[in-house]
Amino acid sequence: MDRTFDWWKTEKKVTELDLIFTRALKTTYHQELFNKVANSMVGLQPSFSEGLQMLELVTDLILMDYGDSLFLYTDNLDTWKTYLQNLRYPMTTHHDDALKNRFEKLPWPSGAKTKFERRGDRAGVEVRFFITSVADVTKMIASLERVQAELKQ
Amino acid sequence: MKFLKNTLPHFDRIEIAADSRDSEVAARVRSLYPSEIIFDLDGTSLDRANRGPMSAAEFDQSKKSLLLTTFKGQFFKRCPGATQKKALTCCNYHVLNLGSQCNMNCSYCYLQSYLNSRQTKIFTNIESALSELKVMADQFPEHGFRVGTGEVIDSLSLDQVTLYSRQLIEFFNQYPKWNLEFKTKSNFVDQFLDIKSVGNTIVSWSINPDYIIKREEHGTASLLDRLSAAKKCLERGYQIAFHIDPMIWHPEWKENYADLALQIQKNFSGKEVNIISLGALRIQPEQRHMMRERFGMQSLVTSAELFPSEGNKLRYDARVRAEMFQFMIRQFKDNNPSWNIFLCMETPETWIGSFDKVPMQMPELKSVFKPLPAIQPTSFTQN
Repeated sequence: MDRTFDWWKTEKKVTELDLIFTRALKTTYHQELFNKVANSMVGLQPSFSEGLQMLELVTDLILMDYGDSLFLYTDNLDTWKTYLQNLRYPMTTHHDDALKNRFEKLPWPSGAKTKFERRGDRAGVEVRFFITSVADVTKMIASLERVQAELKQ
Repeated sequence: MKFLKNTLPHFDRIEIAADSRDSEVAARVRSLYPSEIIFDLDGTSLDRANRGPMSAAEFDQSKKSLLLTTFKGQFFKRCPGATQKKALTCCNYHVLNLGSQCNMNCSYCYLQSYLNSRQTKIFTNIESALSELKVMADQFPEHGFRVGTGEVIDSLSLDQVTLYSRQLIEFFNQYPKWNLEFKTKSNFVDQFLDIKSVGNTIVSWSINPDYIIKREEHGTASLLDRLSAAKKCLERGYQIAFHIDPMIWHPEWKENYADLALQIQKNFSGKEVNIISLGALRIQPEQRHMMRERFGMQSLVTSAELFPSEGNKLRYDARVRAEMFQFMIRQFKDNNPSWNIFLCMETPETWIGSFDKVPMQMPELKSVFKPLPAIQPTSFTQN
């Protein structure tokens, strides 16, 4: 059987209620575009929840007048997901990129592992470091004070 | 009462439950609307198939079909913000629901995910609601309970039909420490202005720039009409308040919200306005499907960049919210520090980001946020 959107729905036991967001697609053009994107998504082998998340984003973007650009970056699920999110949330993407850039340039303690993250309505950086002595703590605090000073500027 | 017929809310169909047939509201409805659209129901109130969430079409239809019925549950409750006290900073608001659904049509309205009744309802047994209130008011006459009637229905947009404002103002006149708040996006105030309030009735308007009103608050009064109505109330001795809520981000938000603040300050002084509350757009996650279906994605609300936040709501990024609040606070406080401003349903972090403190550290707001005695539902006597 061809791996179409209909196949994926059956395979993942997707109900009509799971696809409630598609009710907003009222024109034939929008519905056909959605089915085309959905068929193309199946090749990326998304899980039930990944697929629904992608398809809701696609629905939003179709209603925001995106068309052919929805088929870009479809080689990899994570890349495509990031791409669609960037289209759907352009202002936040721009702010997060600027914030990430700023955080990356801060004088974090040497050996500290930093990871920029968006957690719901907040974006920030997770900092992890390993300490073995009081001297390490002193160094960390001194470094963090330099970070604090730069952030205040 | 000439003012009524010019602005009568539109309904395609009005049903009157048997237990509401002899009510004052039913008599009034019969006098105001054509008999062809009024239907008396047999037996007790027939509530249309309340099974599961409504479709968009059913929700639209529910605004055009009115049911007069009695309410058997508890009228008087705490504001939903109080149930999320760990996550949100709560202002002790209490609500009295005398109906449900709204005849206006805001794109962001939370009723889209809250209601499951296929009809607009007006509860005709206001005397039961007042009995409930009396129990609490007699028990705690000295506590400053703030009671609003605009949680699941606009306080005044159907008031020309019910005239409940008149009964409520007179009831609250007996309890001067208690405050009654009408919250509306209409300009319907003429029906109660002849009643003298002892000063504890606050008429409040949810307001936004006209730019937002035209795009997102369909069927509501213009900003100018809302401010004119507020002026009338103030002249008759009523307290007034404004809720700049929800603030909606758009590219020209600073210009439009600065103009809104200017309009308020041109018409009123800080001392004349009881309170200004600020809130940013927030929605229940499940509400987004109906909003998308009803308003598409060209709306500033449906296309907004919202993220999961405290209290399980979708909100703008925390920094965006803080920026909007700080901007609005400055528009008022820089001109005159006496403006009384607070944030509605926000997290302690956002309070600190906007004011540098939480409300209990602010003398002008301490009394509003001070914990009050809990309501004891079992103590109510129901008729």
